[in-house]
Amino acid sequence: MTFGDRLQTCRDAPVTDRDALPANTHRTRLATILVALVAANIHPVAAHHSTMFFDINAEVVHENVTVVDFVVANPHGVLIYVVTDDGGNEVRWQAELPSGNFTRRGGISASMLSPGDRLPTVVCWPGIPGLVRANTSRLKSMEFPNGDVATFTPVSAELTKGSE
Amino acid sequence: MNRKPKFSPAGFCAGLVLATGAGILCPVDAVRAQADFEGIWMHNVPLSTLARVSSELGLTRAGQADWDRYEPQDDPLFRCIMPGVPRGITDPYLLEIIQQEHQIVMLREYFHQVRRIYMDGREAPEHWPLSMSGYSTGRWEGETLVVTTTHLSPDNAMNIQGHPFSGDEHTYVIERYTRTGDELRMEAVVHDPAFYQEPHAIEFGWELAPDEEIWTYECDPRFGDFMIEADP
Repeated sequence: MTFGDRLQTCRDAPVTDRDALPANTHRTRLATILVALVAANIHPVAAHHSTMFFDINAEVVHENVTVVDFVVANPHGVLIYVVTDDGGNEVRWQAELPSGNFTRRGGISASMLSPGDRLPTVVCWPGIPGLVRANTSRLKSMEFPNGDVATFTPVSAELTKGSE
Repeated sequence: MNRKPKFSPAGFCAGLVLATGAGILCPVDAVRAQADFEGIWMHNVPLSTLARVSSELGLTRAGQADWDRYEPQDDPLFRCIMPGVPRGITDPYLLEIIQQEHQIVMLREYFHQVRRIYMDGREAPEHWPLSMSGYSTGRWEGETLVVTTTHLSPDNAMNIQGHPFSGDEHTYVIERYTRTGDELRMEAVVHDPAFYQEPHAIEFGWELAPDEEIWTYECDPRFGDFMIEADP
């Protein structure tokens, strides 16, 4: 069976490097979520299936959180933690990680955290309401108790030693 | 099925060329020029270049209707179903290529995908089932590997964004792979006239990564869609 085909180029979408983190991010504390209700099908850089569910132009920053669970798995891992809000209430959050393969390649394993560990800082992209469950986000970075920092993109993870 | 024909067209024509000096008597494929694609490859194209705005895809009415019904939380990857073709030909995981006389095997870390590209002129047997990876045959055009894939599943998507893919009997994918130094380039065209007004072009690339190792990819569906808001 033979087929004729013509190669067409149709680069009609604006090209930005989705793998790079946004240069300007607005940092918010605790439960403040900036939601840009952009439908996934018109977002020009939504080239990864799970990032369609998160607002990559916003950030949620949680400090002094307590780990509930830390799973490194495929297709996605998860960090579950509890944070105290401004009213003194403990609020449970879940932050999605990249795949277990990407996470482990970055030098990060599930054994590095245990329930009860305290994380100084967790930075996430907030979930888009209606698409994800409440208090759900995509993990952007987290600081370990020993000062090491893990940073994430949808397809990578990197561990930076606290002494570096 | 004999995967290695007893009569080798390449050998026959090579001999004929030597005997007659008239290489033009032999079809180009028989005295085939090949490239070496073997090795482990890592993508070197930003995934953002794959993003497409759905309004500019040139969807047919049926394609638009299918897209309108799409729910991101229904992504089969959340249920550990492999991406296959065409969706998975641009995944960001490692790719290993093994070349044999009768087939080229593409091994992808992502979901342990094994894809056979038959190079011996065979066609899909009658009643070959549809599948996420389809049935692939290949040929050389000079040093370019041309892969044709049919028997594709309607459960698949065009790309990682979930854009529609009909998978009907008229769908097929043509991929062209070329190597320049330690870079491998793919130019693909997805033919899906039911859903797209024009063939859909996809480009991707890899660089040789001999020090990398293909990992296993154990997928746990418990961690697929646990964050996704279920329909009420």
